[in-house]
Amino acid sequence: MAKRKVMKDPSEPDGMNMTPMIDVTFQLIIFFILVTDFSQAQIEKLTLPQAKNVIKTNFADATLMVVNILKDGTMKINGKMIYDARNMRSPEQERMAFTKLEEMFNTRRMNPKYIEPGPGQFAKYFMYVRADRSTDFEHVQRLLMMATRYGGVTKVMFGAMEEKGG
Amino acid sequence: MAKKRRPKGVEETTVESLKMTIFIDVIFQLLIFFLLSLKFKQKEGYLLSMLPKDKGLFATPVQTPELNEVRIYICADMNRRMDQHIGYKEKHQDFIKDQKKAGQPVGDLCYTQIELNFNAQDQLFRTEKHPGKWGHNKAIYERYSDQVKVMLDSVRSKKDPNKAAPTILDIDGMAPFEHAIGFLNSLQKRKIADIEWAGNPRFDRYYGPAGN
Repeated sequence: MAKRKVMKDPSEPDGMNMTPMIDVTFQLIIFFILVTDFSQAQIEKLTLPQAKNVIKTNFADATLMVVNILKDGTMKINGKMIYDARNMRSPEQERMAFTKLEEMFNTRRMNPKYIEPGPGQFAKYFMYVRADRSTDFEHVQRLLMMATRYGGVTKVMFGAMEEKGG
Repeated sequence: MAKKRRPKGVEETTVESLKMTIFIDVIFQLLIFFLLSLKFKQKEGYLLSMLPKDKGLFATPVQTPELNEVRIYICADMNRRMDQHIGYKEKHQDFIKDQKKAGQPVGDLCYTQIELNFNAQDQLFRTEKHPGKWGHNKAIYERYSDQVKVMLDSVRSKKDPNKAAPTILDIDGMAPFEHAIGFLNSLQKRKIADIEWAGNPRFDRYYGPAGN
């Protein structure tokens, strides 16, 4: 069968036309720049428990202490790893890991920006606990006990997803 | 007027149609991107809870301790050892932890009961493993909160008789966190404000008396 010979337009340059690809790339870059919210870098991807009457969280509060507790108990505060559950072998090792958290609470307690005036040294700030719905409650219990004892924290916000439907 | 003949084999393309092609390319690219990345995200919010003011390092101890309370227990033991959860908490939690290490299915099913009504025991499920049980769990949270509301009308605070006694959520360390939020949400919905968290005796040696 005879093949039809296609003649090349002499005005067309050699190689692929890159203009549309560059267009698309720029469009996507601009899109990502606009939608990336760096204020939420402290938020870990978790499956939060559901609740009906949640109040919308305002992450703009700079004093907010955001604690993420992953399903295995791993704890991250404001993006910083505090306790890595995968590397824990004994209760003593756990205890050592949590001294970091103790220090964090103590540092805040020394700063008048975070503390209410008065003898009790109660925290002015809110602690926002984002825990995975399946995490063992003991991880949250330990955090609450430490926050009360070392941080003088009295106001806790528990992160939850707004319940779907009725 | 005579038409100008184009060379053989060359497609007829005008400047206008070429511009449209690029535009359509971009639109399709973005459309595909959005379709792939679209996720109907639920709204994140929070439930507020207050912690006690008398347990901190610099806090002054309370002169008159609260003696009245309504307590909701959640036990993560598969064998319904609620009595052990209540009576011998630390030993019981160690026992459950050992069971978990040995590969026993702990905490998938929790038992809950309310003080003063020990006959009623209900099963709460871990919704990660039993996604269809969310409605079942929710019904239990609601029913128990109704009971607490009724009880609080008669159980008054020892410190301040004008106030209702506090409600204590006494949750086993191995129970999933979702039950804590489930109860907190339904209690708050009924305007029960004074809700406290029982501490974990396993951590008492490190972080002082658990209080409740």
